[in-house]
Amino acid sequence: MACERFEKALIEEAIAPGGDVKLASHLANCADCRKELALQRELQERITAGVGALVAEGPSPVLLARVRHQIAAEGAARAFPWLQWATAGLAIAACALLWYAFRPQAQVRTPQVQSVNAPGQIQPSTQQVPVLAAPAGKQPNRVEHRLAVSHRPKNEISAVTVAKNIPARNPEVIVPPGQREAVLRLVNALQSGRVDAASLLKPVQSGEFALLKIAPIEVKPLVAEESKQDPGKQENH
Amino acid sequence: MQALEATLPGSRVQGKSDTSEATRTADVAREFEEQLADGAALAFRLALSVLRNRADAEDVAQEALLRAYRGYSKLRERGAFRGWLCRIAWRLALDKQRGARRREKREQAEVTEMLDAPQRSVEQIAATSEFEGHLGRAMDELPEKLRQALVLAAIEGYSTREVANLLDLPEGTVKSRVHLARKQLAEKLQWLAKDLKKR
Repeated sequence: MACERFEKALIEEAIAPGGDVKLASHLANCADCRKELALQRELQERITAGVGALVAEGPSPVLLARVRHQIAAEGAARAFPWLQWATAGLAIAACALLWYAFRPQAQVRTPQVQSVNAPGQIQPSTQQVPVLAAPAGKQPNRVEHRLAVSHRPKNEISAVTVAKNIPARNPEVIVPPGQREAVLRLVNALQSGRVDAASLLKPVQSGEFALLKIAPIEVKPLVAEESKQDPGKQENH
Repeated sequence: MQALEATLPGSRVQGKSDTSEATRTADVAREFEEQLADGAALAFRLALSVLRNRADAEDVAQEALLRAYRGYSKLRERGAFRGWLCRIAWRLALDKQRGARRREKREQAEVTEMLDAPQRSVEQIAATSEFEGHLGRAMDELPEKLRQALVLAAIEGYSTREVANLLDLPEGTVKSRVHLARKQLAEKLQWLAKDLKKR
């Protein structure tokens, strides 16, 4: 065990020998302090070796290559400042081109087909004509028009043409079978402004509704059409 | 070298008439290139002493050299380059040391280092890495001025005068700082001296 009063002096002596005369004279007579000094010197050696080991390693050759490469890259950017702007411009142009090429198209709505039974425009044919559905009071837009024409079968009437010919506000009345005459009689009575219950109930006379000629809808049996389209299928059955 | 000459900051695209400016730029670039290898080693070692991880130290050294390159043309006294680079590298290393990622990388590197050294006995590895760990932590606790002087003085081939030049300090101050750093380290590692006594 070293003498307590020389503890710090021993550390100092281990770092820088010969600095303390009093310690030197004490060491000549104290074996414990000499032993302690040896330990402190060993500790200092280990510290020196440890710190030296921390800084002994050199950098890898890759470090210089990396630095030179980065300097060259920075220098190129500095030597040609317009190159950065040109690159940025090209990038923007490429983005714009890509956007134009793959820009989102206008949404195409599936055309809805409904039967048209316009009063006052009695079709000679009983065939139902497909009509492009458009919101009331609004004409179909260009995309819908183009679509309707492009999808139109060659032998059919243009759906848009028909839609244009139909007055926008014509009422459509669906009459149950067998009640057509009663409804027409009521319409006539309302238009004339004189509604007489007895006249509505009297039997129908021939030629009374001659002005309203509505051709009956001809419904073709589905089985017959299927057999026309796929004659081989029927043969299999 | 030619790339450096052409790309030194502050240099412009030269016309034929401006040959003196071009020559000056080339000279400056040549000077930087001459100092690059030595400066890289110095910056790396300083960073390594702080970070104790090769990958991190190389990153810091690279960044320090790039910063030095960017400001080299503005440096009036070329002789002060190494000291200037020292300060940049030291500051960057300390900044990086404060980062949270450093500890993770260091731990991974320590494990890898232990696995890569089969020639040493397990006891030696344990003793060495344990001591290095304690020493590193003790160094981290040193005041920055003392730590910097100690590390620079420990770099092989650097005399007290060179360290004094690098730090732009009187030699006596450097000696004093190194001495004080050693003393504080010894006081922090006294438990190790007692451990040595038991053996």
